[in-house]
Order: sequence, then C-alpha cells, then structure tokens
Amino acid sequence: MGRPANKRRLLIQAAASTVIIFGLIAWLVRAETKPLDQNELKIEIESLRSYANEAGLLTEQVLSAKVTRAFFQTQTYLLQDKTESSRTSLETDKVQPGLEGKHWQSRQLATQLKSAVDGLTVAFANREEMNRASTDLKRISSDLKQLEDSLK
Amino acid sequence: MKKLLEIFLSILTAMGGFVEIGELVFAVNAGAKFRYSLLWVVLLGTIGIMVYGEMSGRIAAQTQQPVFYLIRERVGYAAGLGTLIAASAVCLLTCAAEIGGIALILKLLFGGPYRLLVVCGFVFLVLAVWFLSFQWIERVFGLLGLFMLVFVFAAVYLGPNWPDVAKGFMPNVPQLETSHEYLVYGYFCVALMSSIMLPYETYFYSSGAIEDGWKPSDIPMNRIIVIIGFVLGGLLAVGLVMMGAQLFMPAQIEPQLPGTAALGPIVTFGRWGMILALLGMFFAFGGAAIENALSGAYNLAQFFGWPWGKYRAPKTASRFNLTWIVIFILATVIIITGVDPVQVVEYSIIAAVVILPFTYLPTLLAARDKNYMGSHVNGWFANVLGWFFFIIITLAALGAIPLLIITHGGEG
Repeated sequence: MGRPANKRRLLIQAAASTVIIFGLIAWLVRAETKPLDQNELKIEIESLRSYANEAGLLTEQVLSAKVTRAFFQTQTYLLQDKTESSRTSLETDKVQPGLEGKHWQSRQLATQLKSAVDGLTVAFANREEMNRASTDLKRISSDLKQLEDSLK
Repeated sequence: MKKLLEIFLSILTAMGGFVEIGELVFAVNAGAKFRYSLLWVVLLGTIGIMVYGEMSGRIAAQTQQPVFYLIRERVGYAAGLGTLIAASAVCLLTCAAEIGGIALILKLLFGGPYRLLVVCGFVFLVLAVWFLSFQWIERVFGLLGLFMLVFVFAAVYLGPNWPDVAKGFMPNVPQLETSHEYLVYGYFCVALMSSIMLPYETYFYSSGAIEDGWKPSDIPMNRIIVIIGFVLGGLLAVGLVMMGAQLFMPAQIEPQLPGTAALGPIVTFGRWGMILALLGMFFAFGGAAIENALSGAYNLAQFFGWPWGKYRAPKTASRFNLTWIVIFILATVIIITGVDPVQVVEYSIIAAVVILPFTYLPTLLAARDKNYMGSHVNGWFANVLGWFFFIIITLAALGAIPLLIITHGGEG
C-alpha cells in the first residue's frame, strides 16, 4: 500500500474515532442532564423500596439474635450510604412535566427512609427501638410500593 | 492413590474457586429479579467455561504454551497487544473489586475503618502470594472457598419448587410486563454468562497447568478436573440463583452487597450461617483477587516472552513478580479512593465479555490445529461445541455495552 493510501486510511480512522468519542460524550451529557422520565423515577423508587425491605429483614435478624453487632452496623452503614445517595439524587434531579407530585412524594419517602435507617445505627441493643424501626420500615416500604405501582 | 488424591483436590479447588464477587451479586440478583428463569444461562455459561478451560488446559499440557503466547502467535503483535491491554485492564478492575469485597467481608466480621481493612486485605494477599507455592495458593483459597456451599444448603433448606427449578434449566423467556423488562432480562443473560465465563479463569488455569508441570499424559486428568470441578462450581451459582428466587424475590429486595447475599444463610442457619458465608466469601474473593493479579502478570510475561512462574525463584522471574505486585498496588489504590467494589465488578464483567471472543478464538484455532496439537487435536464434538460457544460469546460481546446503557446497568 502506498503512502497516500496509508495517510487517507489513518485520516478516516481518526475521523471515525473522533465522531464516536464526541457522540458518546454528547450522549452521556444528555443522559446526565435530562429530566427523569416515568421509568427512571420508578427505578429510583424501586431501589428505595429494596433498601427499606433489606433494612427490615436485617432488623428481624437482630431481633432473633442471628447477627453480630459488627455485621449489623456495617450493613446499616452501607444502607445509610445507599439511601443517602438515592435521596440526594432525587433532590437534585428534575422530572418531566406531570411527574412533579410523584417526585415530591418520592423525596418525602426517601427522607423518611434515611431517618429510619439512621435510627437503626444506635438501636442494636435496644429491642424496643428496633421494633419501632421495624414497624416504620414496613410502612415506608408499603408507601413506596404504592407509589411505584402508580407509575406503571 | 497419590494421583487420585491430586485429582480430588483439584476438583474441589476448581469448585471452591468458581465464584467471585461479580458472580455472587449477579447470580443472587438474577434470582431476585427473574426467579429460576435464568438457570439455563448458568448451565450454558458453565458448559462454556468447561469447553474453554478444557481446550486451554489441553493445549498447555500438550505444547507447554499458555493463552497469551497463543494470542500473539495467532493474531500477530499489534492485534495481540490490543487484546493484552484490554485483558490487563479487566484483570486490574476485577482484582480491585475483589480487594474491596475482602475489605467489606472483614468489616462485616470485625468492624473497623474500611480503608484500613482494604490495606490489611492488600498486605494479606501479597504475603499469601509471596510465601505460598502455586499449589498451596490453589488449595488454601479453593478449599476454604468451599464454605460457600452454605449458600447451596440454605437454598435447599428454603424449600425450592423443584419442578420450577428444573424448568429454569430449559432456555426460556419469562412473561414480563414491559418491553424494557425484556431488555433487563437480556442484560442479565449476558452479565450472568460473562460472570461465569470470566476469561481470567482460563488464563490462570492454563498457566497453572504449566506451573504444575502437566504433560500430554495429564490430558485425561485435565478433562476430569474441568468437567467435575466446573459442574460442581456451577452448582454453587445455581444455589445462589435459587436463594435469590426464594428469599429475596418474595421480600422484594434487590441484593447489591455481599452482606445482603449473606442474609440467606443467616435467615436459615443463624450466626453459624453468617460465619460460614462470610468465611466462604472471604476466601472466594481472596482467591479471585490472587488469580487476577497473577493472570495479569502471566499474560504480560507470556506475551513479551519474559521468564514467568511461581515455581521460579523471584530473582529469575523478577519482571513477572514485579507485575503482580504492581497490579495489587494499583487495585488497592483504585478501591481506596472509595469506589463501590460491586459497581467496579459490574463494569469489569461487561468489559470481560467484550474481549472474550478475542482470547477465545486463538485458543479454539490452536486446539483444532493438527500440526500443533498432534493426536490431541479437537475431535468433531469439541469443534462443534467450540464454534457454538464462539458464536454465543460473540453475540454476547456485541450486545453487552448497548444493554448496559439501555438498562442502566440492569436496574430497569
């Protein structure tokens, strides 16, 4: 293959790579900045509901003395982290028109869940506190499920 | 008798070393999302890794040549170098995720600051690789990884619906509510298969065959280890899917953490279940971290023709030894920044399936080359299976990234 042909091939490859890279960047920027649609809001709520149920299951294991303090505190800490990250993302994200009410509800429930999970961190040795947290988590999970179903 | 014991230990090792953090998370999640519907993917992936592992082990025993030597020889330097860079990046990311997983397990066991535990995990792994011989690394981590069997016992204890489990092994697509959910199902098919067919397992297996000094007479042993060991390893993955289906699906939990998966044995067996599950995960993740660091070093050394092997004195394979230490250091630095190890492994699993055809094809071509393999060349059955899986993994590789993007990483 001659030198001009090589040069042309290189140019085409460089142009194609540039188009792909810029396309990807544009797509990523758009995905990050566009308002949440119904399905995306539902995904966020599903995650919150899953965290609430997980915290509930963990609480039941503590009440039947099946887990150690280290296990409980680590899992609670990780759940706190995940709940906070979902809550922050719901606070900062915009939603498509018509979803404002559901978005507001989801933010309220995320805040309630965060405070219930925060409460768990000091409840390990306190049976009464643990029972109360368990009841709270069940209620929040049920509310999240209703909200999720309303988005189907 | 000694040979039988060796085969027995190797089978248990292959089984214990089968599951790592990515497979754990994807398998339990697959059950939690789609009940038993993805069991056929576990079966398909297990047969796939058996085919790939058997070919690479047979080539290593016959020719003393491991995977990355073949890649350079079959596809040339430039294309081979691209594959090497991609494979090394995947090994590094997977190693990072496993170190993060180890730190999480230590935290679940003893508590303490996460970053300090990451460093403890790093020190433990480096000392283990430095002081243990290849065989002892395999045995310690493979055999102690068998504590993971507690997940299978928990799944059985939870009372599976056996006819539905059996149906799950037949390829199927469940009735789902929206078209988007079908895409999520597709994503889980690809990710679950990739987590079972992670290519580092083959790099490690074929390099290990050379470390252990396999000869052509060991080829029948290779077949027995691959078939029985990987089938039993696949059983672990089946147990994880079943546990997801029986515990987490009814509880409407999508497990995203190793500690959440451990709730299965905890619910069924209490504190002992917790201890066994955490110990199993610790050794399974530890084994996977070591396999990835060593695989990265094997690949680099084999591609560039450096002396390599744990059986050599460190001085005579200095670049090989330096490479696995550097991989451990980089992996620790990645995870110490605070990235979520589960997210890291999700991306590394998708990247692994994208490069899988590039490492699989040279192995298949070498295994069916009569001049190269002599009387141990692929038979017709091995060829049919070999090409079938090449088509499957190529389709998975093409679909992996679009599915990852469209489904937001399998979330919906």
